[in-house]
Amino acid sequence: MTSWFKKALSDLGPWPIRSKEISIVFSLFILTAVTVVEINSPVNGVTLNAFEGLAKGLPGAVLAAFVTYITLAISAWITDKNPSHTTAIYFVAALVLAVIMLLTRVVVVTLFNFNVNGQLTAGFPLFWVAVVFYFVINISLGKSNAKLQAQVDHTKFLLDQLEIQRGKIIDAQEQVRKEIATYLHDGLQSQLVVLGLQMRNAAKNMPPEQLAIANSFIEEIEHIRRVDVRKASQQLSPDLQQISVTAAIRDIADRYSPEVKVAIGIDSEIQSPALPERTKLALYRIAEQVILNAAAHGQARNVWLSIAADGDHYNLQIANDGLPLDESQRSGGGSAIISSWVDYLEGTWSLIQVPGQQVLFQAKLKLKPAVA
Amino acid sequence: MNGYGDMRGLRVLFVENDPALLGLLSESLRIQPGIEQVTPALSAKDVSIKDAIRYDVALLDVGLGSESLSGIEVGFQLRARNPNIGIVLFSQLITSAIQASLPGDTGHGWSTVSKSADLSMDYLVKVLVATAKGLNVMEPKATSLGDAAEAPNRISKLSSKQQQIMSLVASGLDAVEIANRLGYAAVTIRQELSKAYKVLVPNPTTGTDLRTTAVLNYLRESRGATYHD
Repeated sequence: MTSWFKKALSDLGPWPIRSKEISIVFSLFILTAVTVVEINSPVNGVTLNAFEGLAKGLPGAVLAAFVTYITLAISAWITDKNPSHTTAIYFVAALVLAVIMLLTRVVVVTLFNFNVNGQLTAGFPLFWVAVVFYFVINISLGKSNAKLQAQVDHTKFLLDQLEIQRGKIIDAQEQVRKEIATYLHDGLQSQLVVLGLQMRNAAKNMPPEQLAIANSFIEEIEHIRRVDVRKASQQLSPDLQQISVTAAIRDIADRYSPEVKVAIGIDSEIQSPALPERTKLALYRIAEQVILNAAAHGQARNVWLSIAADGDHYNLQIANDGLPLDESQRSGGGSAIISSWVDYLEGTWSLIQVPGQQVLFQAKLKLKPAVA
Repeated sequence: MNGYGDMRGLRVLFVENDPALLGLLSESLRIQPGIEQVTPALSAKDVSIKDAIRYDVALLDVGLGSESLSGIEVGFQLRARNPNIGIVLFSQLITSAIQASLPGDTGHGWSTVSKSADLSMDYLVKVLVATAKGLNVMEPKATSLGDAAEAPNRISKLSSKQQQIMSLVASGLDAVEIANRLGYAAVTIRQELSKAYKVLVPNPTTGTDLRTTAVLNYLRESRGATYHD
């Protein structure tokens, strides 16, 4: 029982004081009440019509709105200044409002000479009506706002989780790529070296003709090691510790050559190998994805890529002369990858169709993210 | 600088984290003339730096695993202990960057050898001997990473007849069998083949078989045609 009581009490307040809403609803109520009373109370046999009734009620209603608003706005202001007394101010404000309403009625009745049903005017429990309006409006708006806020918070939480999950998926993908690349680079290459050396040992005493054939095979093994395995390893996970972004991006360009020509212009600052490895990886992955989209979906023949410094930011622009943008290009699986890496560099990106010209990808990126 | 002059063979320290390669190369080196002793070590931890004076030359794999010192660092430590030891760096990928990172002033007796499948023992021994004497031998095949991209499209330069003949050669037929199958004279097939070889193997190296190399190049390029998809 006590918990029920506590809950009821806490439901009562304090909520933020809604000066505007209360004054509007309260004055509309007064206007309606006065009008209804006026047109239903013939004085000296004359009955007011609806417009006359409204005209009679309007000044009082406006005054009530004004007084209510001022009273509550002052209360809200005091609450702001004394946050530790919020509860007390919240409840006292209800009393003050009710008392001021009573005073206002005296003023209004005197000023505007209500020659109406005096009993109704005097008997109307204005004090309690004011108090009820105050609490009902504050509580209902406060509660629905709190509910809405909770939903917004929850959605935001889910969105953050999604963001984290997306980052984790990208990390996991990067990790797997790296493991395979390491296997290709260390394991497989090493095995090919061993194979070549063993073949050479075995072929040592062969007659020249057979030795020549064996040598051709050894050369082929070396070619597979030096070119094929390394290229595969490099494509999976570029060794950005050793090479610059420019070299890595040029490597992407070579993949599409000669079908797609990629022109590259990169500021010298970014070419420096001193950039953090993950930053280089981010630039590389963004470029890789955008060029892939241009070549695969846009069937571009030419791609222009530039990275230029702009204050503490860098502008990455990748234009292509492919097909005009369609929805699949705007929101494919690739854009999640791009978003993740752009987020990592605390940036923003967009993909637009320059009218009558190119498809343009633009990103504004911070190359030294605060979080290492 | 130790030893080679007084007819004693080289004492080699060999650090390599691939056990198969370590075993194979150690054995192959041991039986080479001019090599007295090969001490294998699987990791940087297995190397006793204070024993550096017991070796004339160290053959060091550059990448010894991500949690280990690199071969270059091991080389510096050995050199600090024994200023006369020759250091030969051994890597799958001798880049110009690695070569540039080697010390310039104390670059005495630092060499690089590419860990390639067609590595010749004679060459390796020559490099070890020269480095022990204080010479620097730089890997001539040092690459920048972009090099791997060369992808000559030689097949497209073959006539369609030559392509047809090459695909039959690749499946193991000889000139006579191809002539029978295609309805030409064998001599025509041989002429076409020698033209095709010139296209597929523009710079034949001595000691390799032209026909085998041509077939391997043909197979590689026809395989490579679908590589980017």
